[in-house]
Amino acid sequence: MNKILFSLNSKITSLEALYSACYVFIDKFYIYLDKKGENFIVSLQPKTQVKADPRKVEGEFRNELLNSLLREKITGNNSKIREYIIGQALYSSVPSEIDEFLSKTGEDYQEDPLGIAIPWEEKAKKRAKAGKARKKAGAK
Amino acid sequence: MIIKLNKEIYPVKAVRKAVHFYRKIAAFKLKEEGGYLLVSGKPEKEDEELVRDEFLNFVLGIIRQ
Repeated sequence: MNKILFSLNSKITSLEALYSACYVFIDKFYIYLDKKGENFIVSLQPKTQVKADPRKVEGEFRNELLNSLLREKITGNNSKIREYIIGQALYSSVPSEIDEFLSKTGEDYQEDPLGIAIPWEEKAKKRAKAGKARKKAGAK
Repeated sequence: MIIKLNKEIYPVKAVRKAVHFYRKIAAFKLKEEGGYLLVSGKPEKEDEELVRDEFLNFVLGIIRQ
C-alpha cells in the first residue's frame, strides 16, 4: 500500500486533536504532517505491507479526529466542574482549623458539657422531676 | 538526508529532544529556515528512509507526552 495523502482544514481541526488522532495511528503508520495555507497535510505510510483500502484508512483517521475534537470540547466544557471536584477532594483531606483547635485543647466536638444537644422535652421533664423532689423535701 | 518539519506543527523543543535521543543512530544537525526546521544528517548503519520515518513518529510521540 502506498502513501495515503489528504488535507484537513485547520479552521475546523485543532492541532491538539490532530496530534491525538495521529497518536492512535502511530503504531501502524509512519506519519508526516505539514501545513499549506489553511490546510494540514497528513501523510500516512503503512509500516508493513498490508492490504488495506486507503479510503478506509483515511475515513478511520477522520473519524478518530472527530472523536478527539469531541473529547477536547467536552474537556473544555467540564473543566470548571472537574476543578471543583478535585478542589473539594483535596480540601476534605486537609484537616480543618476547627479540628486543629480541638486537638490542641483536647476537647471533643461530640462532648456536650452545657447540654445544648439535649432536646427541650427531656430538659423540661428533668426540671419537673427536680421541682417535685424539692416540693417533697420542703413538705417533710 | 534532510527532514523538513513545519514549525507550526513540530515544536522546536520536541525536535531538539528527538535529535538528542537519536544521537547514537545519527548525528543530526538542526537548522531553522523560514517556517521550517531542517534536520540533516546521515545514519551510521541503518536505512535512511527507515530512520527518517521512525524519527518523525518519535517526534510526534514526544509532542503527545
